Amino acid sequence: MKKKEFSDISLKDAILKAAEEFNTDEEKIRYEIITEKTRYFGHRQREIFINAWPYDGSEEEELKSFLKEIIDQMQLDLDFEIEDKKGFLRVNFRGDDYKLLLYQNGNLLNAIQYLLNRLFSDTVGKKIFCECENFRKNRERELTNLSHHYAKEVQKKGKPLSLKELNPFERRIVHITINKYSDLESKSMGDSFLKVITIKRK
Amino acid sequence: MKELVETVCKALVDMPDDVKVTQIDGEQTSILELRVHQSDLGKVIGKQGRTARAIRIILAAAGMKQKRRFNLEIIENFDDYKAPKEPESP
Repeated sequence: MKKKEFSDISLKDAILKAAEEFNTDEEKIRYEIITEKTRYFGHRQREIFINAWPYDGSEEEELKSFLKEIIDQMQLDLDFEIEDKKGFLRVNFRGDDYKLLLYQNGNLLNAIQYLLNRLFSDTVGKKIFCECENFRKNRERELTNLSHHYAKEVQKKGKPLSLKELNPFERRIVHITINKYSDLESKSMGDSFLKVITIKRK
Repeated sequence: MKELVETVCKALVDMPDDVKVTQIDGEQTSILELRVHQSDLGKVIGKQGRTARAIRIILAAAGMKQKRRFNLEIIENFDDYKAPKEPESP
């Protein structure tokens, strides 16, 4: 895969330029923005610099074969399919060993997701989400319910309460739900990867 | 299990030829010793040991299926390592 730099007045023009250079459609161009400049000489003009490369789905194949190899070597009964969504790739696992994936709050699922993101999210140009048996959806619902419950408790008694250790993704959900209450605030405590959220009155 | 660590680490690292894994089997546990090129150590360990933790979790899950424990040891090369001088105690 070769990256090349392009610049033009607008993002769309720059992508078109890149598509012409690589002889493909503009939909198949993946890019990252380097800088944006505004020039004042002469008439006012904007200029945008992007790094672009053609994308033909071969990275997705690479991801597939890597994941297959890992699962084979772990000797698990798992199957997966990849959905290409707009902002992200979703890897959906299913099979007999899904319980192992979700063991201890989806420990293994998160580990695989992290590894895949480190290896492939740059080349694919998208974030990768792993999902298994609606685990993330259920977890989100569970956490919003829990934080609503805690919020009401704090409002009633006035004492600060803290939740269990959560990972960043889960903490985000709690912070968002607590933000809806105008008289409460939430804070993350600790400095390791897993932090404890405390909810208290302002 | 050796192959599993090898494939993951070779994908992570800049110099895949230097990845070496040796397996030492015990009664219930096996120790996997991972050696990588000096400049790739950070890539295998990751921010706050996050990558290393992910590999260990994957190993633990594979071990649960086989009813065996796996320990991953990342081995540093201490040949060129110079210990920082300790401040003299007053």
